[in-house]
Order: sequence, then C-alpha cells, then structure tokens
Amino acid sequence: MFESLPQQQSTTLSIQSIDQQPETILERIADAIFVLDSAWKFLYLNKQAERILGKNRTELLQKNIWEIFPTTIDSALYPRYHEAMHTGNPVHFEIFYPPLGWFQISAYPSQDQLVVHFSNIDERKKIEQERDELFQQLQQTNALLDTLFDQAPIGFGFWDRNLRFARVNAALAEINGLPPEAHIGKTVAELLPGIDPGVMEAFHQVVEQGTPIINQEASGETLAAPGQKRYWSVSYYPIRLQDQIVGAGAICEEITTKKQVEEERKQFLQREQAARTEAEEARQRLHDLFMQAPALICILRGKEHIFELANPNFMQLIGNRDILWKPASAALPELVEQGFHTLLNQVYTTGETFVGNGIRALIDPHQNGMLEEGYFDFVYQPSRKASGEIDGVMVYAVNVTEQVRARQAMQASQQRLELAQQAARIGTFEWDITNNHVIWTPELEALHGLPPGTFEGTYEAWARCVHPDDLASVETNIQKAINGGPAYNAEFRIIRLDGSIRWLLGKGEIHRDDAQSPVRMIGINMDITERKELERRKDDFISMASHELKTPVTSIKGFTQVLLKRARRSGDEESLRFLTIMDTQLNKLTKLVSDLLDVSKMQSGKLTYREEHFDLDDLVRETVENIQAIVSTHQIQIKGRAHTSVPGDRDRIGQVLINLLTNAIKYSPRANTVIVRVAGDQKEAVVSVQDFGIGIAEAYHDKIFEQFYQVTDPEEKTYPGLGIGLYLSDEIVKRHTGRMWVESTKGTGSTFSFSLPLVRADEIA
Amino acid sequence: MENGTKKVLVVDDDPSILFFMEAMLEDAGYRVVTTEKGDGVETLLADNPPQLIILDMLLSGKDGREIARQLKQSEQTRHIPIIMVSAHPGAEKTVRAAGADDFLPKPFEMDDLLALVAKHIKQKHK
Repeated sequence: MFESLPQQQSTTLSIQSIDQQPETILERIADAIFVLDSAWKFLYLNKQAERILGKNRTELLQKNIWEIFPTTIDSALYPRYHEAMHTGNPVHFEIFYPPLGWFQISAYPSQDQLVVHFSNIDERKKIEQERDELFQQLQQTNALLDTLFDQAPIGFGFWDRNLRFARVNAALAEINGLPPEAHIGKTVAELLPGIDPGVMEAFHQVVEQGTPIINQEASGETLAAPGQKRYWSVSYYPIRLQDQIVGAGAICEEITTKKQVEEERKQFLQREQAARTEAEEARQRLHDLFMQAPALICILRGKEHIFELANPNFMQLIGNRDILWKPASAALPELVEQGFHTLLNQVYTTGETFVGNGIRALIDPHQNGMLEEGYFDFVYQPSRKASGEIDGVMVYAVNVTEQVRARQAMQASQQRLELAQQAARIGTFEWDITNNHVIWTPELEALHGLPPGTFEGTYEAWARCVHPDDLASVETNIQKAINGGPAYNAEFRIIRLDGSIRWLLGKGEIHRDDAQSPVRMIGINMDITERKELERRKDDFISMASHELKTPVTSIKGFTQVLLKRARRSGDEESLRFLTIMDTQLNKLTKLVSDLLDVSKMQSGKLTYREEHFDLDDLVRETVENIQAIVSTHQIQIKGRAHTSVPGDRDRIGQVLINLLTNAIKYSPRANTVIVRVAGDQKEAVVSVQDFGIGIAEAYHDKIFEQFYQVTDPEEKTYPGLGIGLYLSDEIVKRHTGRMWVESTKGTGSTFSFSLPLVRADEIA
Repeated sequence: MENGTKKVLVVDDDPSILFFMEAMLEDAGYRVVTTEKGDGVETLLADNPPQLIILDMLLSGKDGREIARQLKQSEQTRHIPIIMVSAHPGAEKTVRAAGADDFLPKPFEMDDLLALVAKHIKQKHK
C-alpha cells in the first residue's frame, strides 16, 4: 500500500489540473483526496474523501476543516498541515484518528492550496501490528530458544550448508576449548584437528542425504584438554527450510566418564566371566576327581538322605544298585539296622562330623540276602548351604577290608609264632637294613641274657655281643646273603653280659623292595650251645677214638712187620704168608678207621682240604701203579689223558680214585679188567672207572652215594665195607664243585665217573 | 758202646709200641733207647745224646710238639734230628712248625720209618 513518491507526484499533477481532468477519475480512485485553501477551507473533496470523512461535499465545501473537525487541532494533523503550508514542502505521515482509524496522509502544498491525499490504512496497520506482535513473539521465542540454546548443558551447534559453524552454545564452546565467536565460519575439522574424521563424515552424510544420525560416538581431543582422549555421543540432523537443506544441527554429549565406566564394566564383566569359567573348570575337575577317586564318595541331600551323587567306586561296592534320588534307607536297606542311618541322622541334626575307623559293615550287593563283610574308614560330614544351614551329608569312605583282614591274619600268625618261639626257645629278629635298627623278641633278649626291653635296637649293639673271633665270618655270611647269595646261615658264639659264652645258630631271609634292594632281614637265633658241646665232645671223642684205635693198630702192625722181616730172612714161607695177610688186613683196618674219622669230620664241617693245583694224569698214573702193585687179579688200563692241571686237594682226589678202583676190583671178581678213562676240555676234567662185574640196578643209582648205604642184595652181602667209601668220594668231589655219577646195568658192570672243574665256581664267588 | 753205631731215642707213651720199635730198629742195626715219659727227656740227652729222636706227638701229660720246641731251642740238643709220629694225619704242619725235622703218620709201614731214620741220621753226619 505504499505509494512511491513519483506516483504521488503524478497524482498531484493530475489534481492541479482539475479542470483539465474529468472528475470521474478523481471520483473513481481509491484514495481520498481533498483540497484546502489557504484559509483552511475545503475547496474540493472526492467521493472517497466524503465517505471516509463521513460528510458530503455540501457539508464541507467552503467550511474550515478545523471548525468541522475540532478534534484534529490536538492531533498531529494541525501541525503537519501548517508545516506543509509554511514550508511549501509536502508532508507524509501516518495518523491514528479515532474513530475513523489509521490514515496515511500526504499533504502537497501549492501556492495557496493544500492538496491532501489520504487513505485508510487500518488494514495495513492491523497487519503491521500483527506483524509486530508476531515479531515480538518471535523475538521472545528466539530469546527463549537462545537461552535454552546457550544454557543447554550439552553441546549444541548449527552449521551452514558448508558445514561452517553458524551458531555454537556455551557448552559446546567449552567442550571445544574456544570462545564461541572463534567458531563462527570455521568447520569442525579446521578448528579441532584432534577430532576423529568420522564427525565430518557424519556431517556430510547428513547434509547430503538429509537423514539424521542419532547417537553416534565420536572421539578425539579438543583444545580444552589437549592430550586427553575424550568421547562424545553426537546426534546430527539436517536443517531444512522450504525443502532445502540449509545446514545441520548437532547435539554433542560428553560420555568420557561414561565410557570409562563402561570400559571398567566391560573389564569387570570379562573378569567375572573368567572367574566363572575358572570356577566352572574347578568344579569340573572336582567332579572328575570325585568320579575317579579311589575312595568311596557320595553326597546325600535332605533329612531323608537322598542320594544326589555317588562315585563309581561306591556304586561298584553296593552292587550297582539303582540308588540315585532314593533315600538312603530305601536304597541300602541292609545298612539301616547296622546303625549307619542313625549316624547319618545324628550328623545331619547336630552338624558334627563323624569319623569312623575300621568299622565293619555288611553289604548286600545283589540284594539276595548274601551279605558281604567289609571294613571301612569313613567320614560323615555335614554340608551346608551358603546361609550355613545344613542341607545334606557328604560321605567319604576308604575300603580297608584287606588291611583289617591282613592285620587280623597277622595277629593270629603272630600269636602262633610267639607260642612256637616260646616253646622252642627261638628268638626272632628283624633288621631294617636301611637304618640299621634291629628289633628283638623277648626270647632273643633272653638268649643273650638281657632283661626284656633292654636291647638297644641297633646292628652295632648286636655285633658287640658276638665273639670277636667269630664276628668276621658271620658278617661275611650276612654280606653274601645281602648280595644275593644263599640265605644267612651261620653259627657263632656270643658273649653274654655275665661273661658266659653261648653258641647261636643264626638264620635269616633278606626282604627286598621293588628295585631288588635289600630292605630288611628277618630271621631267628637258636641257642645251640648244647649241640655244640655235644659236637665238640663228639669231635674230641672221634679224635681220641681214632687215635686210640690207631695206636694198637700201629703196635700190631709194627710187630707184624718185624716178624715179616725175620720170616723173610729165615725163609719161613708159611709164616711169611700169614704175616703178609695180617699186614694187609691191618692196612684195611687203618683205612676204615681213617674213613670213619673223615666222615665224622665231614659231618661237622671239619674235613680239611688243601688248595693246590696238581697234574691229574700224573695222579691217575701213580694211583693205578700203586694199586696194580698189590693187585694181581685184574689188569688196570689207563685210556686217554686230561692234559691239564686241576685245582684241588691231590690227596683227597687220590682218595676218590682209590675208592673207585678198589670198588671196581671188589665188585667184579669174575672179571679181569678195569679201565680208567681220563679226558679234559677247557671247562672240566672227567675221570671214569669201568668194571665188568655185577653191575648196579638203576633203582639204586642215587642211593649208593648215600652215607652208610649198602646195596642189600644177598649176593653183595659178601662184600665187606662200611658203605662210606662212595659217600666220602661223592662229598670230596662235590667239595671240589664237581659231580659224581654212575652208569650201570645189572650184570654188565658199572662205570663210575667224576668231573672236576678247571676253574672253581666257589673260588669266583 | 760201639763207636759208629747210631743211637736212636724213641719216646712214646705206649709200651707195646716202644717194644716193637726197639725190635725193629735193633734189627736194622741201630742202638735204641726208649722212654715212655715226655718230661725228663732232657736228662737222657745230657750225656751221650742220641743221633736221632723219634717222638710221639700225643704223650700223656705232654704235647710232643712242645718237647720238640724245647729241644730245638736248647743249644745242646738242637742239632739232634727229630721225627714226630702221630695218629693225626693233619698234624704235619704244626709238627714241622714246632721244629720237627720230619713227620710220620701212624700207623706206618716199618720200611717208611726206617727210610726216614736212615735219611736223617745220614744227613746229620754230612
């Protein structure tokens, strides 16, 4: 509704030439026009003016405007019109003229006229007012928004289409570490190089695609805290104006601490998870242990003692009965009456653990009434919930039946042994080789003349009791046993505290561990003093006896020889014959006595042997020669040679040979030959004597080597002898670690052979 | 007393042995002195000692070896050869250890004894 000056001027021009213009134009125009003369009288007014003023021409023409409208004098009209008239310059103004409303007035002065052009601008004014009100509202709203914007605790910003900061609130400015003004016109990338590029990417995406991005994480450092990595949650949205994206807005919330918390929480969760896994594994291991444990384990729950878990060993013990989830009294009824159920109840109610050792229990695994006995060490332990309340019983048991039975058996045999020992006066010892501790039974202490309980208990203490002359050989015997040789078997003297000497027989067995190391020796000692005494007396007797026997024999022999000599000299053939026979018989007698003595010595282990090396062939030849010299009935042949020297006692082996030869001759009266064969290799030499006499039935082949044995055959009864020749020979050969044997059949003769090793086995030992 | 005839002393506690020994040795041409007692032997040796002593090892009350030892220790008698006789065949070692010059187990062949006597008496005069 504003008219420009040039337009107004053109209207004025047209008015100045009223006469020239048809009135109709003026009448038709929308604006109101009236003309005043210099006396302020209406000269003209158009229809519109009439209307607006509310008066028609006839009322107003030639009338003074101030007199018609007196209220105008106080309004702005008065001075402004006067101003126009005075200055001659047109005036333009707006005025509110009640009750007519708002008018826009232009007054154009000319010589003596004032053309007033006015139009009602109520509409415009109303619009203006509304607009102003609106604007004010808008301003208020803006102010509010600004306040909200500025005071928001989270970062808030607006960017233009080129993503340059248009607006930034205090919070965001603070986050960025720059004053708000410094932001304007710069992009985030320019201002904050330390921020991750994802931010700019997000902005680009938002303004190009027009879709918001909500709660995207951004990280980086800003100038507010250089070097510190921070985190924000940012939401971006496009700003549209009439379907055009004109910029972007973003809300930015710092989540650094939240992030830290979250990080911590994540770690915490991880740790918790790890802990849980570990716990689970531990539980699994425990479970495996439980299932594989050699003990008997089961878990009972509740006051009914329901079987919640039983390990395989336990299941096996009770015959794999179906016990799970059953109460104990129903699952294993046979145990109820044995008091175990009562025990369970007691443990469950009192909370006190029960421990039983070697308790007997009868179990019915096949549920057929056939009870099996067992002994157990067991524990009933209450199990508690986290609150401490008892909710079950854990059973842990070890089957000690074998140990108990073994102990019972041992106790029984121990008793028997003690009785036997008491009866036989045998003492038992146990020597722990690993620590030299020695345990003696009271009987053994008594044998040593010690009061019970006074033995010190060490190997050294025992050794001190042994007679010093015997100690070395006893210890050698013990050592041989320890080294794997024959069991300990020795006779030795001990000296008691009172000085008396007793003979003991010691025998013991070595017990070894899995590695075959000697661990223990268990043995006995027997008092053999009487026996030894007897032996000594026997030895003395035999010595004496043989001496006594030999003495008269010597005497007789002596005289016989004297007589022999004299008979030879005097030529008394008959006497010579008799005396020769007597001499021969005396020799036999002497030999018998010697043999007896030898046997006796051999039995008491006193037979002496010389250790030497001798030529076997030489011995054989010499012996054969000596015998052949006095034997005319048989011819003794030697076949073969040993070509070796043999370790041993020459005289004793000679004794063996003589024995075999005399036997051969004796037992083959109808034959005339005896063959001696000699052979030898690297290991041994063998001598055999063959006769062609009566032979020996196979049944007797072993017996003939026995002491005092003579074949009881009516035919053989005629052969004199004590039956000790072969026994002695066998013993001598055995002593040389050789062997003796016979090959013979009844009626065809016998061959007696013996072997002598060239290297003595017992020398090596 | 003939010069050149050797004298042999025989010591044995069995008289029968002494008897036949005497007979045997005299037959062989020796002069024989006998005694049953072990102690007092020294006195017999004092004047006119024998050229040989035959000594029984087991004498009643005395050990022949002990006598032999003593004889061998004494200046006057150590030169006399001693043949010890015994029924214990295993006694040879101890007999020789006691100083005896030889050993003969009983019962013995007369010829063996005579041979030993001849040997030792002969040696002595070498």
